[in-house]
Amino acid sequence: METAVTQVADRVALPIRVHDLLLGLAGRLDDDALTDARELLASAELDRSLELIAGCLVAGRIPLSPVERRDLDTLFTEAHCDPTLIQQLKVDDGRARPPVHKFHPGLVDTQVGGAEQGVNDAVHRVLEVLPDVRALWCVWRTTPAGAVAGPVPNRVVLVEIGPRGFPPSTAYRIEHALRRAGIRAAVEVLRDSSPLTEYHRQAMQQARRVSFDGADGSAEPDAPRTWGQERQGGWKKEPEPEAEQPSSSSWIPEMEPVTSPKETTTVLDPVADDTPSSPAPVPASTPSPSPRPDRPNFDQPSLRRAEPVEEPKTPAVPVVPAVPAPVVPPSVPSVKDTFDDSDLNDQERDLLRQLQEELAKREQAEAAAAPNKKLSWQTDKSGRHSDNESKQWSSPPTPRIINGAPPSAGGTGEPPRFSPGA
Amino acid sequence: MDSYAESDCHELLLRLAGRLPDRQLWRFRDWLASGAVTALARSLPLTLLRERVGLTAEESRLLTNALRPAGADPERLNALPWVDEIAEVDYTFTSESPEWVSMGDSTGVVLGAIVRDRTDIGEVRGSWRLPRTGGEPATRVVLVTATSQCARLAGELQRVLRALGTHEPSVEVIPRGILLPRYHQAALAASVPLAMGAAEGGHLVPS
Repeated sequence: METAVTQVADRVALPIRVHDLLLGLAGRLDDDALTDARELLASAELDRSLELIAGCLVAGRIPLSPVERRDLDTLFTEAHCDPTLIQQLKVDDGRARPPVHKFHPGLVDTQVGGAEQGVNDAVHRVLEVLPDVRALWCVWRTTPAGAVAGPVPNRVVLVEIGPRGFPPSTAYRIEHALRRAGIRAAVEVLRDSSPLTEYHRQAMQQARRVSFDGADGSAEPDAPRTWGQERQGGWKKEPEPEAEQPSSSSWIPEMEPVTSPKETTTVLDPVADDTPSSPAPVPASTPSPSPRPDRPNFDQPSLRRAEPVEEPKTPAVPVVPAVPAPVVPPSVPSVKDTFDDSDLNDQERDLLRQLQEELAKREQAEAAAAPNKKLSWQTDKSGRHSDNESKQWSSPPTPRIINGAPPSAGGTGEPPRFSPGA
Repeated sequence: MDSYAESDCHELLLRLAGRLPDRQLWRFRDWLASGAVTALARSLPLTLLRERVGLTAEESRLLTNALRPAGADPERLNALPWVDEIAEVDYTFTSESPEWVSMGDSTGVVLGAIVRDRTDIGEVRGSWRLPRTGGEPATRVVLVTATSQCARLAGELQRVLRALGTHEPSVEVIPRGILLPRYHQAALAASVPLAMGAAEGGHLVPS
């Protein structure tokens, strides 16, 4: 029996280790290589995934650190791949500098557009079934990646998942959903137990969050959407009830708080740099009743829809009598405390996670005791798929500028074209 | 990798156009252009097996000649099934994309700037490929004649097209004297000229 358990553990661990390796290669390998490797990984073709990674590294003469080289060697051995290929990999002797990338959230009023545009519409159905997806962020990378770089800017979608999520399949399913919607993007799935690489940290600093339910953004089409506009424009949002803050561990740099309590919000919240030089204060005109303005906004309940039992709490809070019961009891560590301490060890994270699960159970019990609350949630969820909202989100994906040229047909780099009927 | 093995491998990858997904084919061609034959020797046979791509006897000979010296697993090579001939091409080709009306072809302009005065490049032509079953957007196929260094030229042009926005470029660099597969015959029949290099006698279609 022990052997069986070990085998199961190995089967789970190996793909995730490859996934982590791919995260470390983001920005060095071209995005299509990462995407293809993740798809193979999710399709249980571990050997092909590893050989693809190694082949791209060899062909692109991309150096690895000694640790990465050793890790890849180990993975090859465990996946029963021919390690001969590994011997041809370049090892960084300390002189190679990692590529420096630049990110930009995109400007709504330009041809590039916000990186988040169209993403919600493309992925919301997938996100409803993928487990433990906590947050979604979008950003443009304006610099090329890899030896066979694709066009720039390239959209990067960052996904935060919890311990119950499965990184390879999450990356594949989201990328596949985006591709079907005509959106090319590098999908980076970040586990809450893993530290951020410099690449992802820089991307997160510029990224905008995408709410999963996505109706509020279309309800406020004229609302300022860029970070700068939000900061200057006094974007009014309803205060977020304190009792709705679920605690959750994360390592993502601190960001400005989400101020809208609506579960259907699609308006993309600004991401504040966590560097000291970044303008940290929240605009005075942005109502933020939370006493902890630097609380990460991915903690919003609407971003934790992976667990249906947690969903009822959001829309019904002001109405249902059971809601005033503290969702976050005093003994629960504050959200700020939770997220500020990036040095939590696994044991502490596990304790925190258990606490969250206990809270979720209590909420579920409260929801069962208050049928109106459940009804309210159901109504809201069905309303999410109403025709009005789908129409509002039926606009095509954001045009992409490719080397100064407007969008292309079918993902190709074709010049501006017009429909024959136009 | 000696030049014979490289040309064999290039010819094999040329013949696999339309049978192996573009997503994988352009990558293998890039590896060949970059000299990563060891990687190709591991991945290509496995991919052909997993994708259930059958080879003709001639293609099998090309594969073995090209990749066996680079360390391809003979067991995998032997496991690849043979087919008597390649079935009908699953695509149709047109000279213009049926989805859009071009208001200028920046890709053709860039290709023209690259191949101008290049003595190893003949004619560059293009056509648009559509799957017979539909469901996919039109894909541009670039056909190039070259006198030497075909694999490297394919890699170079692929990189250019990718930078221009074609994520999975379909660049068919045709060496002189090769018997064109059906796929390329069909693509050529519908193609239009894009650019012209300086190689003598490099016309794909006699003028």
